[in-house]
Amino acid sequence: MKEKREAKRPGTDTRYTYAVGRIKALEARLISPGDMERLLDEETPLRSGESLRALGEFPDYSESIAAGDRGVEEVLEEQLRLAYGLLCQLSLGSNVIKVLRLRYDFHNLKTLLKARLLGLEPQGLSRVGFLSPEQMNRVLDEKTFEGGVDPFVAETILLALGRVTEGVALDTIEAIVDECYYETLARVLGVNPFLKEYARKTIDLINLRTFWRLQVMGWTEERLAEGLLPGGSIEEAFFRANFGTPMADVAPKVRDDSYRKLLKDALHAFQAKNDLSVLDKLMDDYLIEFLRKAKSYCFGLEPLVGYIAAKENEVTRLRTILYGKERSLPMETVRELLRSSYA
Amino acid sequence: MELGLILAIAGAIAVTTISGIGSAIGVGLAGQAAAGVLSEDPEKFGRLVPLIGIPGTQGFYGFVLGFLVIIKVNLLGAIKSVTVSQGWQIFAITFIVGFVECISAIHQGKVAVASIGMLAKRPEETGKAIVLPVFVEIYAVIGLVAGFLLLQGVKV
Repeated sequence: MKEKREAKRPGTDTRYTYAVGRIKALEARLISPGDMERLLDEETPLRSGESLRALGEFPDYSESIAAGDRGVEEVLEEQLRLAYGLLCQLSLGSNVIKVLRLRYDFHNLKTLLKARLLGLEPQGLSRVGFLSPEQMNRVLDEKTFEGGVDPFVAETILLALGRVTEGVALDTIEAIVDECYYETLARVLGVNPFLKEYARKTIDLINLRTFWRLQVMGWTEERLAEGLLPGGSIEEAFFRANFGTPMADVAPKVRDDSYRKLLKDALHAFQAKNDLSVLDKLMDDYLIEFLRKAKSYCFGLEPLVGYIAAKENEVTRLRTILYGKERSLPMETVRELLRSSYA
Repeated sequence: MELGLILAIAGAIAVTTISGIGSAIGVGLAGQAAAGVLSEDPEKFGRLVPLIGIPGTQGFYGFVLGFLVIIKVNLLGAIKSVTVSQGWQIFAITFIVGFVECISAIHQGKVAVASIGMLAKRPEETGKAIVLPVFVEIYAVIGLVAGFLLLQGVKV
């Protein structure tokens, strides 16, 4: 019944009216492009500790800074954790926000599994997900969850763990865990036409990136089959048929106009710098542009998803600017890396 | 009690009830959205009140039309004789007007929610935010006026 109601036309579900009202008020507090520009334009490079002061100029962030002795990354992560926590409450038990937050748990899961296999200390763990890295470590040891963990979260993580069999190769772990996550994402977001489209586009773009990266790195076609995610609109056969063909010749064959344009822009940048990182930025910009439509919806879960994407976008932009300044990168380089603003 | 009178009273009940249902839904939607905004920004209460209340007018219009029917048949005094034909006429007028009021209240509630979202982001645009739901109000008023005029045409 719940899934049936969510399958209505986009932006028509009145169960989330309170949540949407609250989101509209929160959206007004997002850092404006003008303020972000001002932060970027400040000429002096930031020394250690100054990034925190720069961040403290924004009210939401200053509260996090005042709450304790924290570094920039901890403050940024706390902002995301708070936003996800609130939206999980406001989404009235729907799994849509939960599955988006699970991305961070799956990131930790992959990192911990790989670190265990290599016998190294895990690096770059996130505290935005449902489980802290310590809790995830215990789950890896015991294969069970302590009380209080959302059943959907527990079920999805255990599903992924169940697929990572003993003796699996390091390179395969990422593909297995990602496949499990994106399968779940496509299933959960599939109940709503707008979100279904978002999931489909996300998967398509990741597959295009995988296809391109594998070609650049000179991997074999077998790795392609492993790396492609299910649930996209571009079929595996298309990637297989074009594997080995230069990307400049593959891009015009992609049916979707918007993907073709994205690949064309990425090709220009790639040919100029021989660097694929611009593709990540273009993909993020493409998805944020798609989600910006959610701003015009007054009902339904779409504005909630739009807001969390906006908050992630804000944090990513802040991270790019602050770290760029700390490392004294030229302003042009920081601008090139900077994602388009949702706000 | 004669059938004509029963139909007239049923019409009065219908217009009041159907309009009231619409208004309750409309005010409910606007109220929920406003509560969401106020959770984050309580200072906007004064600006939001007109938007919460505006879909409630249809319920009032329905009540006015129902009251006119009560006056027409003099239900509170010496009840007038109402033929079956007159009863059906009164019922048809009130039922259809009630329906118009109900639909307009729900849609006005939705426009009010959109206006509340706009006000949350741009408090300086309060005037524009209030004007938008007023356009829906026009049709609720037309429904009331049409119902009033048509009732005058029914000679009891």
